[in-house]
Amino acid sequence: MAEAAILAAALDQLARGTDPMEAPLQILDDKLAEKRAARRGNRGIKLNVIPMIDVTFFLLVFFVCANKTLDREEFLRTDLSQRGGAVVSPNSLALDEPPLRIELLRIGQQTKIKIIAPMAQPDTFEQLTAIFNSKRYSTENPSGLFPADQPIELAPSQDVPWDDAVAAFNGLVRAGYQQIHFAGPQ
Amino acid sequence: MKSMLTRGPVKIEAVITPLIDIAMLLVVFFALVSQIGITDFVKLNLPKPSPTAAVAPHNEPRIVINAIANEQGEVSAWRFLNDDYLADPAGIQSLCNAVTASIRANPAAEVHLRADSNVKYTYISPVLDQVGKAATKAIPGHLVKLRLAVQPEHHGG
Repeated sequence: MAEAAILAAALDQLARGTDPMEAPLQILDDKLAEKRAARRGNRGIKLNVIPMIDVTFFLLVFFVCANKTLDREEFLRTDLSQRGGAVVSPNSLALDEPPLRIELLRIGQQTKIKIIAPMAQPDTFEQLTAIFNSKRYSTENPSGLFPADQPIELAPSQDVPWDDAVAAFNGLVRAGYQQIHFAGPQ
Repeated sequence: MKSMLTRGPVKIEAVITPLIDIAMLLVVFFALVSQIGITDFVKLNLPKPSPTAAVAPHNEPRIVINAIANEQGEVSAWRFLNDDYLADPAGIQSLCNAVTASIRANPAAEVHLRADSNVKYTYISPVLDQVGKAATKAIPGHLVKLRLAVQPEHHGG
């Protein structure tokens, strides 16, 4: 169809005595413009998701790494300011309260817990928690001996593994005591 | 031919996708590098008390002291800010000086002590003692917050 139109236009131009190539070229040009317009029209709206995927993966990698770095351990709180001494009372006339001492002794491959006070002696860290929990004074337990801020000095012997020292510390924290410190070097 | 000349100016568009990619890559890179630099973690088999009373770390600045120990629980060195200090009195004194400087520069920082579960207390005790002294030396009357690192119960390893 297009070829016939071009030929007819060329013959028409020739009959008029003008340039026979002008009209066919114009037709071809128009056809090309139409095709381009049609192509543009068919494109429609497309969502370019590649940058979105890139960004999502970067965020994923970032949070996975950050999570691994930050969340892999937890902490037991202690205050070094309380180390090796009694709590300083704001009242200068009041006597300093001596810390309650708990010794951890290494006997063979076992760690023995010794409370330096006339009270039941625990065999395990679970028992240590239970004993000290029962002795903690509170409104629910008015017969308790020690307030929650009772200073407690934990004195592991030289060869006690850090695991057991931390377990004893953890047991006392679980029992609700807030002022626990490790004894200084002996 | 005429329409080619009358098409008008060409529209120039900036391709910003690679730019965004590179920017994100740099952000992630620096975020990770800064985390590694701050935390200064050493792979350790931390104590795992169960059930634990430990809490997750907060966003406070931290000073991390790591015990480098062998399988027998003997500490050969203490690692602090990518420097190793020998576990002898002179090394611990140097560690104390470095911790003092860090506390002075950042009084709000918490001291995180990380030691392997089998480390003997004889190696830990002098460091606990020195860290307490370092805090007082840095700022008189300063209450340093010591945190004992433990492995969370839900952690598989």
